[in-house]
Parts: sequence; structure tokens; C-alpha cells
Amino acid sequence: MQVKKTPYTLINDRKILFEFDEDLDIFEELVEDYQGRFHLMTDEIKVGIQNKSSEEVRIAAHTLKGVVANFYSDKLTQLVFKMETSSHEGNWSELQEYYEEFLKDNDRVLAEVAAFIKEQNEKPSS
Amino acid sequence: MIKLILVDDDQINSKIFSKRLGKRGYETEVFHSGSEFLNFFEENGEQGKFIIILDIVMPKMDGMDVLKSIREQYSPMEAPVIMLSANEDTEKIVECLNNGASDYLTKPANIDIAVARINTQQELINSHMGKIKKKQLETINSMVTTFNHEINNPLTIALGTLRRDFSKIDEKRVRVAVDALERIAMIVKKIERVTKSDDVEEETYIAGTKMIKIK
Repeated sequence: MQVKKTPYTLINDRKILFEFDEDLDIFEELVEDYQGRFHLMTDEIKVGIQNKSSEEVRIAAHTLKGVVANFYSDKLTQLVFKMETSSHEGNWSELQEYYEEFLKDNDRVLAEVAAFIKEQNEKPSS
Repeated sequence: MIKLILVDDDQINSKIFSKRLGKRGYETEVFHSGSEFLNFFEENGEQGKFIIILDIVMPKMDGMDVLKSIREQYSPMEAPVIMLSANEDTEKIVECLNNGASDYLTKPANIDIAVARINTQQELINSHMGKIKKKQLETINSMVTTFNHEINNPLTIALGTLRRDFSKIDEKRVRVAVDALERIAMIVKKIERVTKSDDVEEETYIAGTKMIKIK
């Protein structure tokens, strides 16, 4: 019986598989670490927005972008990139919007990542 | 084996990258700030011992500042630095390469590309260290040739003179022996001066063998 493949709309599962081919265990660890540090990382951006500190937001968003890039979600990566650039331009209202949109999309991306990991773990080993 | 040093404030990516490199047989050490790394490097830095993978954007002290500090003491052959950056940091990458970075990787770093670039740097270090070793051996050979040539001649004269029948030895012969021994003492001093100077000049002794010029 052929296993039905989950359609992913936010993450690029092929790219994850290609990049983490031999290291899916490490990819799982990356996701756990990200979930563990998520509030710490996003709080840095939140506080930066409250303090209108461009540099604080720029550095925090840059670091977040580096981690998020591992999920190969163009949308999520673009959102963090936009946060980084709007903080640089001092566009605080736009930044706030991107931040809120990021929080929502992040949950959806993580749900897809969890489904992807489950699918890989359930695959019969060749 | 050369050790890989990762300098990145991003605790997740640096840990994951370090694990992936470890799985491929590399020994790694991670630092989360430029100053933390430079403190370590100040005490442990040695040519040909480390390949440094350095994040460009870091709080307080960024990758460019760290790179400049490294280059004050070590050339790219002695301490290669591979910069780690986001794709859109083209200007920063160029700036780093112009300031002595050996190569760069973009985030998220593809492990196969990273390994290939690390291996290239490792080969460059090995080649550089090989050349240094060869030069050291050549210098030792030249020094030995110099000692043999400069000291053997007066030593032979002094010994030959002193080994003669002592009942027939006269003041003139003692003078010759003393002169030869004084020549040896002077040559030893000159050689000592050569070892303390910054530059060593060589000349051909016989075809294929060089000796150090002593003045």
C-alpha cells in the first residue's frame, strides 16, 4: 500500500530532506531547541519594538532568521527578513505587523515540521 | 587534526552545525561571542592549529572586528577564517574577504559545501606548514654545513699543531694554535649573532649545499 504523502504548503520538505539527509536526528534536535528558545528569541524582538531599539531588533531578528531558515519556509524567512529591514528603517508600525504575522505563521510552520518529522520516522527503513 | 572553532551568537545553529561537523569527524569548539573567542585565542592561538568559522553579525563585537584582531597576528595561511553570513550580506562578505577572510559560507550552511571549504583550508594549512618545515630543515642543514666548514679548518690547524712532539714545540707553533682556537671562538660568536638576527643570508658552499653567510 502506498503511503499518502502529506501536502506541505509552508515548508519545503524536499529541501529539508536534501539538506539534512544524514542528519534527520539532528534536525529533530534543532526543532526542539527552537521550540525551547522560541519565547526567549521572540521576546528580544518584542522588547526591542517596545524600546524602539533598532539595533536590538535587528540583531535578534537576524539570529532568528538564521534558525528559521533551516525550515525552508520562504514565507517565514521573508517575514523575519522584513522585520530586520523595517527595524533598520525605523518603521515601527510595519514591524509590529510583521511580528504578529510571524507569530501566527510560526505555529503553522511548526505544525508542518512536526508532520514532516513524523512522516520521516514512520517511513520504513530501506 | 586541525580543530574547527565556531564563533556564532546563535546558540541553536552553532550547536547543530557543530554536531553535524562532529558526525563527519571534525573536532569542534563553539564560542558565542567575539570577545569570548579572542580571550581563548590570545592564550591558545598557534599557527596551523585552528580553522575559524566566524559569524558576521553578532552583538557588541561583530565578525569583522574579530577578523581584524586575528589578522593582526596571523596570516590567512596560519589561521584561516571562513565567514558565516546571511545570503543578502553581499557587501559585508566582500568587505570581509578584502580584510583577510579566507572564504565564506551562507546560512543555513550546506554541510557538504562546508566540508569541502574546510578541507580546502586544511590542505592550504598543510601545504604552508610543509613549506615551513622544509625551510627549517634547509636552515638546519645550512647551519651544520657552516659549522663544519668554519670550525673544522682552524680546529684541524690547532689540533695538528698541538699534537706534534711537545719537546720540539716552539713559541711560533703555540701562536699558530692559539690563533686557530681564537678564530673558532670568534666564529662561534658570529654564528650566535646570526641566530639572533631577523634575516639569514645563505651562499652556495658546493653544488646542492648551502651555508649561512656569517659576517
